[in-house]
Amino acid sequence: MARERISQAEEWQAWAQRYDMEGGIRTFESGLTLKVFLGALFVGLLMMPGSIYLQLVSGQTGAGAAPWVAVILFTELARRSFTTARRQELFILLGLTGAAVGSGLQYRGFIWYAYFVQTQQAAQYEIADKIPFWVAPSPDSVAIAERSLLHMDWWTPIWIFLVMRLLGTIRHITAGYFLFRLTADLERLPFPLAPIEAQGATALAETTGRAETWRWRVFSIGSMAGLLWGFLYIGIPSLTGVMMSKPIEILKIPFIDFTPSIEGFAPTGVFALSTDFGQILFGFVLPFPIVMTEFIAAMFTQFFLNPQILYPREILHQWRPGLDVRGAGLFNGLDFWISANMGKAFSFAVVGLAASVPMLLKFRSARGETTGVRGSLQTPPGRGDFPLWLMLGLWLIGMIGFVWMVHWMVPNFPLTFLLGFAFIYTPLNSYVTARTFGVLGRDLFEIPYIHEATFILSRYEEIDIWFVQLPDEDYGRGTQGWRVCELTGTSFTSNIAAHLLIMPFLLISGILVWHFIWKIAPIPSAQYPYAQTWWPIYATNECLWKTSLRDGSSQMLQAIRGDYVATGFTGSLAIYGLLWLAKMPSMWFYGIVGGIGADPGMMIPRLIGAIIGRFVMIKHFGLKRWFMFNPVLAAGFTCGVGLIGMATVAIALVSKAVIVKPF
Amino acid sequence: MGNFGEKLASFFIVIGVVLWVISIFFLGGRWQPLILSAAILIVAIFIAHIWEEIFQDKK
Repeated sequence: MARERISQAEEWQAWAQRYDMEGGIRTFESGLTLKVFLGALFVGLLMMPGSIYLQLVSGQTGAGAAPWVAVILFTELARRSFTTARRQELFILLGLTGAAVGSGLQYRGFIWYAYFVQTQQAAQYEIADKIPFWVAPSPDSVAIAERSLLHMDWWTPIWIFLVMRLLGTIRHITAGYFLFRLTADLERLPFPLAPIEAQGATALAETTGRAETWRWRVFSIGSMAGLLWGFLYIGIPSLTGVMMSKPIEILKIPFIDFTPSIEGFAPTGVFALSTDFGQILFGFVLPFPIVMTEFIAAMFTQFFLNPQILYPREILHQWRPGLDVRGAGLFNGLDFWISANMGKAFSFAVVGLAASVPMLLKFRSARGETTGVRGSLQTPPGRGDFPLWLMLGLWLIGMIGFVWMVHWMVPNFPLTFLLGFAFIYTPLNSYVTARTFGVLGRDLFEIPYIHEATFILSRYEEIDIWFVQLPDEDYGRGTQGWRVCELTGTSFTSNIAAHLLIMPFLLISGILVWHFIWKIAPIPSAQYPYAQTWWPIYATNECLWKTSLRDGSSQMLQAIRGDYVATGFTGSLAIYGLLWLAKMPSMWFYGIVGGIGADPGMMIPRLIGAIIGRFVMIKHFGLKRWFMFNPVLAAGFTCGVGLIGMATVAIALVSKAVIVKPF
Repeated sequence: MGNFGEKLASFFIVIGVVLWVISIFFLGGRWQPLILSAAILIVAIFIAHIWEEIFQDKK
């Protein structure tokens, strides 16, 4: 019997419904209240110095766990005060605390360049005197000698940073929203990982209510599993590393390398088994066809395509027996896969456009459709939406302002390249990323060494271009955030208002905190061991990169070959075409193309999760209940692992602060 | 448009895939024939989606 064609519209709609908590029916409420704002400000400002300090001391920020700690503190306070916390409030709290902790790290550049201009490396490579005035004051400045960020010599770098930050916020909010409307509303892509974040806030909100529901139980099970796994995987190596010269690893971190073992029958193949079995929980959540096809395609690559096709034809020519996964992966990448992967990424853009353009063609007729239907841009009532023309207009203003600023900073760099990045590359890159997040829950589009290639093509030889932020941006990641906001029933206006309200506080406090930390001791110095160990190495690397194109060539750039880019691009389109002919689900395309060239060993934990979910859990709980449970379970697990991570960093920090006297 | 769109898209896909195989195995994998087959495949994929989204739904 002939297979019946299921249109992509039907396929995506079905998956979107599966990942949509409460079946798409929800009321939207504001999550911004005074207590949330003050709570976020208090916790954020308390944690920001801690995360900056932690980064300088241990290289870790605790930024992943900090929002969860804040939310758990908040819900406990709510319970003790016999009041309740709504999930909308907790979602805003999660976002604001994350922004507060993260914002402190944005000012690292000031202190880094204050150090960099004084390094021997910068002097040796003849960079020190060429660092522009809008990056850092000159090495003989009083501001650097006194270690003060509040000196007037810093005014130019700081006001440029603030203007860039303001324009960046406008661009990221507006473009992220625009892409969300396109991918989530119009195309109905499922965003498989968005419910994890949403369900975490929902489950914790329910703990403050009178009756605890299944969500709290499932979240607790996930948290306990996360704590246990986090202790085994992160805790034991970190804690024993403090006490012993060599840490104890129960499971080798991050993988067990079988690459040398398979080279006898699969030369050039790579296989490193990931030991991060926490990924099993993400395998529960991700669509089964994607995980399965991705694994099969990766196995095909490493056990057939690489050793039987590419190696005998000497396309993979740098490989030598005895290489481990890093060596073989590097050489395979340079020989073929970096180029082929670029081609693959372009095919995502073409397939995405091919799916979207017909929807725009029949957009006029779909205007009358109800909300939640593919092809319709109708919005649910109360979500706090904005006109698309307004968002597009604001993005244009933000981007034009950004390009103008960059042009002012590097006036001799060709404007054409800046405009190309801003108005061709950025929209394309963002759209593709938004789609891959909508389907796979991760980014797949990356053009390596794009900056270096641009600098060579532009024939621009001044060093200042390396210090400027080019207008090549990616708003696709932000799209998932809007979807999470929607799933928690938080009105978009309250989310935007919360972030805009907290921004001035964070901008000012970030500068002050760095100023005081710098005042305590020079950075790097013995007080900041991580910075003392690594910053000199980073300085050397930065000098190498910034001077790598002086002779107009780069080994990395030479690895990109047009023939192989075309092979990856056309091959991916051919796979899509063949799957369409065979009436197979389009999910297979994303799985197959995502898996080709990848290491299958890294996918095994997710595959185990997907198989257990598909063949055990769905049978046991039923499809609908399992899809309700698994994001909550994964959210609890992330919270548990995060808490263990934060606790071990704190213990390690205390142990490093203890000075053992020799008597 | 009936099934004409589906047949047209299928025809172009077959042509594109055959040309892709020929370029890889017989023309040394040079980018010029590869891009030609990519162009044919792009046309096919756009036809397929336009047919699927606009005409198949009506049917």
